[in-house]
Amino acid sequence: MGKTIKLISGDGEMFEVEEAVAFQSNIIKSLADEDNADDCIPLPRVDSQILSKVLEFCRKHANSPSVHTKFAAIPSELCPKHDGSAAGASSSESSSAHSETCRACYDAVMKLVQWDLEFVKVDLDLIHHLLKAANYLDIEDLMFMAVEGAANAIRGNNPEEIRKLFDLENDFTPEEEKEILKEYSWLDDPFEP
Amino acid sequence: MAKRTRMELAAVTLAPASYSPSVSSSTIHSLDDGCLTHVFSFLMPIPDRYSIALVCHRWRYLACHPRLWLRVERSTKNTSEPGVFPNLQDAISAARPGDTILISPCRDHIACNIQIKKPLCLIGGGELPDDTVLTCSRGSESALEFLSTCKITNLTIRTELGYCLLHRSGRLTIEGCILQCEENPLDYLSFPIISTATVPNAFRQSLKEHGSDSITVAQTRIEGGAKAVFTSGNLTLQRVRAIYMRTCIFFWFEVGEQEL
Repeated sequence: MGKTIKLISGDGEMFEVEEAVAFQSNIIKSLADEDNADDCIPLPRVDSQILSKVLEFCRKHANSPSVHTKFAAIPSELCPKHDGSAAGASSSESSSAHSETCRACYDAVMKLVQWDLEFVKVDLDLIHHLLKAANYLDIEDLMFMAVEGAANAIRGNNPEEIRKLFDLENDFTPEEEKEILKEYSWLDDPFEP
Repeated sequence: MAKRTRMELAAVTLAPASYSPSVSSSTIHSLDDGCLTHVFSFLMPIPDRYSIALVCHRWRYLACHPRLWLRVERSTKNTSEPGVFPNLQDAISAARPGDTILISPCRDHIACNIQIKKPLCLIGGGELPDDTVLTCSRGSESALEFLSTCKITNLTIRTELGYCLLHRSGRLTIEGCILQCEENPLDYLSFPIISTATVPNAFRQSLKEHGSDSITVAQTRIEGGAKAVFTSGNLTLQRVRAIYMRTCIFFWFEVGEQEL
């Protein structure tokens, strides 16, 4: 195991993970850089149940290209096929050329996207906790996927179904609803995908 | 996101009863506005953003917020901002069906032969339609060509020679706009509105779920050109009303299937 980081959840549980995993979080990365490495990093706002889910995500994403933010610039050292031995692979130009044509990289990224989509197929309360944790710990990819998970819960549902899912009350009067539908009257079928 | 120092995180640990382990105290509907808007931005306008606008007042406010609209701004300093485009053509290409495009109040937007093949709403960002001007230069057939149901509001569309709006198909709604054909010796060739749409016969008409191709004009000034509307298909001008003001005339009318 390489260098590890110790994290303490809000309810006092200790998690020891590799640097590459923990450093998916920009916050943890900057805290670890700051002072001595033996200390544990407390994360009071994340409880153990959520932190273990977050670390599961980070483990999968460590040493993988970030699929959501930098798709075009996968460095060749992260490619499953190439092992960084290609000449001139360090320049950013050849990295982007590499990722666009490299089938192995593309497949790896697609597999990761599939995994991510499965990961956020969970109940909305868990997605909410993941959103808050991703925001608090500044984990870009997890933020993206948690938002996608919440959006996915909404997609294709009518207003009443959405209200049930999110536990919301309909605070429109029938007149207000009619007004809103009138605003949409310029469209042929606003509710038809 | 601001970097949090260890001091700040430690301060939170020391605060009394700051950590509450129960899940029920923070559920999905305690998401803040910024987060919800972020989620809504991932949704297609049709049908999802329209569905969420009917969920509750708060969601309607966020779903219909201009933050989710595309913007056309001529000044180049905004080119890196997502959702902001330097010209209308780019915004239309990037838009998804059902999107709203806000065009900044500026008098030198260009609109030449811009085809619109998806349902969009174009809104002028000024207080008056006079503030947002789209100009179609001589040499282009029309400023905007509509092949889909659309709505335009609070805009001025000006053409040097040709048509302001070329309506091919779909239901076009024009509200509070100004359509101008410049005065010139050849202005008998220009029309503010031209429609080539042809309504199908009665049998095929009954197979269509929603209204057929038509144009609805409300509170719109029409100036210049040979005549206000030219139809080369079989739509006819109907229900014309005009209000004469001191310096201009406002029109309301429809162009649609001939009513028997």
